[in-house]
Amino acid sequence: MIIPGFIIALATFPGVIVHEMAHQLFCRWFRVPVFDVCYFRLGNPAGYVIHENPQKASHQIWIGVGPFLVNTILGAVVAFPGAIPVLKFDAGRPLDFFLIWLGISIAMHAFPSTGDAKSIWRGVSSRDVPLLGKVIAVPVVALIYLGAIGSFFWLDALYGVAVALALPSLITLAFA
Amino acid sequence: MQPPLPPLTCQLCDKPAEVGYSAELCSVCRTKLAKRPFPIWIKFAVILVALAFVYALAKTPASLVASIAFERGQRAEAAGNFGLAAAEYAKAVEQFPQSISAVARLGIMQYRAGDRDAAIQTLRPLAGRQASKELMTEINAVIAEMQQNRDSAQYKATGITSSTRGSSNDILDRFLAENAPSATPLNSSTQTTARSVKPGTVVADDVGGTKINIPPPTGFFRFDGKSNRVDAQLKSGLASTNRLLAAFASDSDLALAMKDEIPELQRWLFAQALIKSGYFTGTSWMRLKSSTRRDLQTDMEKLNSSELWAKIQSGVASISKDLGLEYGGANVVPLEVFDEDENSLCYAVLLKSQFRATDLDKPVTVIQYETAAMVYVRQRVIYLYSCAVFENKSDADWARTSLQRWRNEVVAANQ
Repeated sequence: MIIPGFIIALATFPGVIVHEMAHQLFCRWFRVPVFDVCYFRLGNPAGYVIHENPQKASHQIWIGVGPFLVNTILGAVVAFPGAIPVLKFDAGRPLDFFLIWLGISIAMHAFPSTGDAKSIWRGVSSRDVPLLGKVIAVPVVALIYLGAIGSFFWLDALYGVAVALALPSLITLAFA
Repeated sequence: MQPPLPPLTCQLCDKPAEVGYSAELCSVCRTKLAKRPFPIWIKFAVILVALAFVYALAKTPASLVASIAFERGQRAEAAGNFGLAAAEYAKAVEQFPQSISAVARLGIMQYRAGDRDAAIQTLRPLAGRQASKELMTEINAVIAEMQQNRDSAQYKATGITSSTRGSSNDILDRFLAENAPSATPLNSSTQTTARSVKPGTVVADDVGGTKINIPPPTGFFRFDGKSNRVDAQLKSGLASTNRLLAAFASDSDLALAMKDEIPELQRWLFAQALIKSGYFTGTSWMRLKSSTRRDLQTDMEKLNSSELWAKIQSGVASISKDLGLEYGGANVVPLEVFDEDENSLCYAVLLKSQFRATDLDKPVTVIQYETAAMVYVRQRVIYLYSCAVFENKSDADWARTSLQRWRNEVVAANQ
C-alpha cells in the first residue's frame, strides 16, 4: 500500500523531530558546525540537518548512527508501559494508547535516511577506521542502510511496531 | 619561488580560520554553529517527550512485574499448579485490576485451587462487563461447576449454555449477586498452616474464605470458649458486624473463666475479624490502610455518637447489671497511629467507662488504654487488640509493645 510520505510524516511527527534533534545533539557533542536544521516539514525529506563533514570518521559514524540509538531507546521506553496493559491485559486507557503512538512514532524514525546511510558508509570506509572497527561496523551499517532503503517497503514502520509492541513481550518472556 | 598563500579566513567573521576542517571557520564561529540553539517550540516539544519518558520510566517496573507475573501464572496454570497460578495472577491484578482477563484468570485459578469464596469475591467485579466469547464461556463453565458442587437450593442460577456476551453476563451477574456472602471454603492452597506453629495457636476458620493462624501472645492464654458467662461478656463488647477470633488473658484470669467467674482483665489481648470479611489485593489493602490512617480521628469521634456504639453500650450495661454494677456509659478518645509497616497499621485510643456499684456512693471511672492493629495476612484483614487498665505510663507502654510483638508473631505465623 502506498501512502504519501507527508501523511506518514505528519502522523508520526514526534519521531522526525527526535531524529533531527539526535543528529544535532551529536554534532554539538563533537563540535561539528551545523549550517541549517529543519526539524519538521511536509516535504521530502521531512527533516534534515546540514552540517560540516566531520574531521574524524568516528564522528561521522556517530552523527549518522545517533538517531538510530536515540529513537530506538526512547521509543522502546516510552511505549513499554502502554504496550503491556493494551496487549497483555486488554486494559488500555487513553494514556496507554498515547504512549504507544508516541513510541511507534519515535521508533519508526530510528532508521537513518539514505543520505545519512551514505554518510555513515563514507565514515566506515574511510582509511581512519581500523580493520577491526570496519569488521564490526560494516554489518551494522549494512543493516542501517538496508533499513534506510527498506522504508519504501514499510520496514521502518515494522521496526517501530516491533520496538514498541514486540519488545515488551520479548522482555517479559526473557524474565518470566 | 612562489609567494606564501594568504591565511584562510573565517567565512563568517574574517578572523583566521581553524586549519584541518572542510569549512573555513574560526574557533569561535565553529563552536557557535556547533552549539546552534534549539528553537523555543523544539524545547517545548522536548519537554513533552521528556515528560512522557520519565512517566514511562516510572511506570515500567510495575508493568513489567505484572506482565512477568501473568506469564508465570499462565505457565503454572498449564502445569496444573493452580495455587501458584492464582498467586501470580494476583500480582498482575494488583497492577491491572481493570483487566478482565487477569481478574478472570485469578478467579478461575482460585476456584481450581479450592478457594471458592475467594473466587466469587474476585469474579464479582466482572459482573456486567464485556469480555471475549471464549473467556465468558470459560467463566460460565467454572460457575456451572461451582453450582454443581454446591447445595442446589442455595445456588439457583442455572442454564449456563449461552455463549453470547449479553446472556453470559446476565448469568454471571445473577450468580455473583446470589453468592456474594462468604461461605465455607473448600480446600485451598492459601490455607496451609505455617511451618513452625507456636503451641496454642488458634486456627481461625473462614476469615473471608480462608484460615488464619493466631498464635497466643507470650505469657497469655486463650480464655474464650471456657465459660458461657464469660463468652457472653466478651460478645457484649463486640460490634454486630464483627466476630471474635480468640481472646487471651493472664493465667489467673483464665482460671477465673474456668470457674465461670468474670476475669479481672487488667491486661488482655484479643483478635477480631469482620463477619463478612473479604479478599484484599495488595492495592485494596493499601487503600484501606491509607484511609484508616487519614480518617482515624474523625471516625473515632463519630463512633461515640453512632448507633453501633450505642448497641455495644447497651450490651455492656446489661452484663454490668448482672454483675451488680450500674453502667454509666463510655466514650472513646482517639490518640494516634503509633506504628505502621507493609502489613499493618497500629493505633491507640483511650476508653473512659463509668460504673456505680450498689454499695458505693461515688461512681468509679475506669480508663483503659487500648491499642489496635489492622493486619493484612493471607490477603485478608484481621484486627488485633491489646488492652490495659490505665494506672500509669507503664500500662500504655505495655499495650503498645505487646501489640507490636503479637502483630509480628501473627504475620510470621501466616507466611
